[in-house]
Amino acid sequence: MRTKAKTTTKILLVDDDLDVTFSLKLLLETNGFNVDVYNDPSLAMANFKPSLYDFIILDIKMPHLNGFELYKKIREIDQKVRVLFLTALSDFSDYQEALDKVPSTIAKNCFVQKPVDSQELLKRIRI
Amino acid sequence: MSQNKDSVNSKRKDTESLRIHINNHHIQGTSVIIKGRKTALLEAYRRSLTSVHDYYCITGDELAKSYKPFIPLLRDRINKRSGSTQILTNIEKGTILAVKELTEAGAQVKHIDSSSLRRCVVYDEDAAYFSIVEEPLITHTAIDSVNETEGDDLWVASTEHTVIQSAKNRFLSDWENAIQSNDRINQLESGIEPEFYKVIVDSEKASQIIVDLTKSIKREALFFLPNDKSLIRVDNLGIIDYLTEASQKGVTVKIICPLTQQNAGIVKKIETAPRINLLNGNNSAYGMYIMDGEKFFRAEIKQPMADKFSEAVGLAVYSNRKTTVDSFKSVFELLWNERALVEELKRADKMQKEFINVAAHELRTPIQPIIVLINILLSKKGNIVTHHEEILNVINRNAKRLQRVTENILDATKIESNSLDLKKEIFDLNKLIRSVLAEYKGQVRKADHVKITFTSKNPYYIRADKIRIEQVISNLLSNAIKFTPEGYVIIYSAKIKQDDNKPTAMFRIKDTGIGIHPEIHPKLFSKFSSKSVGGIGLGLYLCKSIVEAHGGRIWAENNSDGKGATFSFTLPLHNTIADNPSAFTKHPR
Repeated sequence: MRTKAKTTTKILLVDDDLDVTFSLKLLLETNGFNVDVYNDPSLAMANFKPSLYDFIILDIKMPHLNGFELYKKIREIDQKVRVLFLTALSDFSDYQEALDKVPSTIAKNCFVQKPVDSQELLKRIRI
Repeated sequence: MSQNKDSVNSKRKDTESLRIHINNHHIQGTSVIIKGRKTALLEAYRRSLTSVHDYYCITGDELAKSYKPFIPLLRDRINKRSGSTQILTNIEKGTILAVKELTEAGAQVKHIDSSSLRRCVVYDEDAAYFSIVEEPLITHTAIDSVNETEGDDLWVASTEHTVIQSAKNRFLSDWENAIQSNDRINQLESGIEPEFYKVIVDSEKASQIIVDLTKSIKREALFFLPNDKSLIRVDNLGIIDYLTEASQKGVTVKIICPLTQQNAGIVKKIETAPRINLLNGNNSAYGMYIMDGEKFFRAEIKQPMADKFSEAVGLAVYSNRKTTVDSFKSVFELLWNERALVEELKRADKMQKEFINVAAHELRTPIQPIIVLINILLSKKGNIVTHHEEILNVINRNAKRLQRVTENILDATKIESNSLDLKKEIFDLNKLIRSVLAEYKGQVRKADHVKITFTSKNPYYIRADKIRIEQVISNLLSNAIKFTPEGYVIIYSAKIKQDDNKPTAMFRIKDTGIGIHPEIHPKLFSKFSSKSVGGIGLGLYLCKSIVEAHGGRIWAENNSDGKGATFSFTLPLHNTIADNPSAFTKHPR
């Protein structure tokens, strides 16, 4: 009834944990979103195209390409898409080093800690 | 050779010009130049046939080569109870025999450092011989003729009274300060170097001392370097290379030095040496070096940023005095222990923080699907019926995952506080392996990509904590699967005899995965060593603690074919059970 857009909101979800992506995809799809899931961040980047997604959910601690590195690559070709980091880490400063100056451009409200409540996550996307 | 001749020629020219110059002041007697050491000494010895008091100051080398014919003359003099012979020379190991024989024959011998040796031979009031090279006296005398013989040594032989007097006086003053031959021989024979405490003003010499000291290390070198640049300076002197070489021969090296970006390259080089230990230190106004606990060198830093060692050092002190060396060695040890403790605390603090972060990550992650999926089930939204079973499976799996992480953290805490209780019972190891495998196959998604094989043989009975051993097997299995993207995991068990001849069961799990990273390998079984993205870094630490608590051993190696790794552990077999298992099957406890 609320913001069910005329065109469906398209979400990219990148997380190396299969059970996390299974549950979140199910949650988002039952709430009317269109979701692409990648468990391999490199593959997500390889298939990424600008303006393809309205919203991106990124894990931070992932093998080979961490969430910040992936974010940096995404931003190089798509400056508009909204990004939310969803992480179980308390301290991700080690991972952030990969970004150089970029972190200052990521607002604090772009980070959400796992486990996130379903309603909280949906609210973040619908803002 | 030609160079030598040139120098002899130029010396002769000098003496000739001297002769012309000094002829005017000629008083009485004659002076001749004798070329060749041997001739000079032979002539000198001939004199001693008739003289009463003679004084020799010659090198130990010269003495050892020419003393023999002199012995009967000395004995003869003793028999006649007349006259004396004083010999001043540098006594070294090779001249001890000559010195002993001469002393026995009645000569007085004293030791003088070779560097302060001024060669001369003086007889009574009659004649003096001295080497031109060390000889400033030549300026006071005139040369009447040059007597050319074999050899390049130039000596002056003089019968002039003033020359003889001054040569004799100089000899006697050297004699006063010289060391008794017995003392010197004792030092040499006991291998104890005489004590010295030198203040080095010449910084080139200081730099030479440091290099020489480093080259002579036998057991241990302690370096306290004042700033980051000083590591670069000693490296420029080749010292780090000498130390590396020495460390390969078993020498222990400890270096305290401020570590910065500037000297990071050298630090990397040092890290390849087996026994060079390096600790970060604070800046200081002086550097300190202690070699083998025997020699000590301390230098003030004049120019901290200089490129060359000799430009950087100011006043230096060099000593082998035991009290000095010992006290600075204990100062160094105190500093070392303090630095080591600081580093250790930093490391522990960092590890603790990392652990909390990783533990938090591993505890929170499985909660995410549980929360979301239960929420979906409760909302009864959408088409959940088609996913119903999978939803429950995921919830179940993550609840177990959460349980496993929690248990691991609690177990590690128990091991730390030595309160890991083992509830031992007798059971068949192979049966346990089969049950772990059966449970595992239903649990793990990725297991589809990996073929797991285990062919069990006869039962191997062991007396152990079944739940703990299950934990070890399950951990090794999940690791093997985790690190094997695709291929095989092969498990086998065997009965082996160890060195102590006790019957032992061995468990082995071989995979075709990515293998053990060389950086991780040495600390594989210690806490938080994992480099994997998932996992808390406690699994193998717990495995090791459990196996060892049972009196077993655990180890790991990369497969010789370069693909994957093999983990093995042993546990003592239960002896009587192995022989007659049926007797115990009814009452396993």
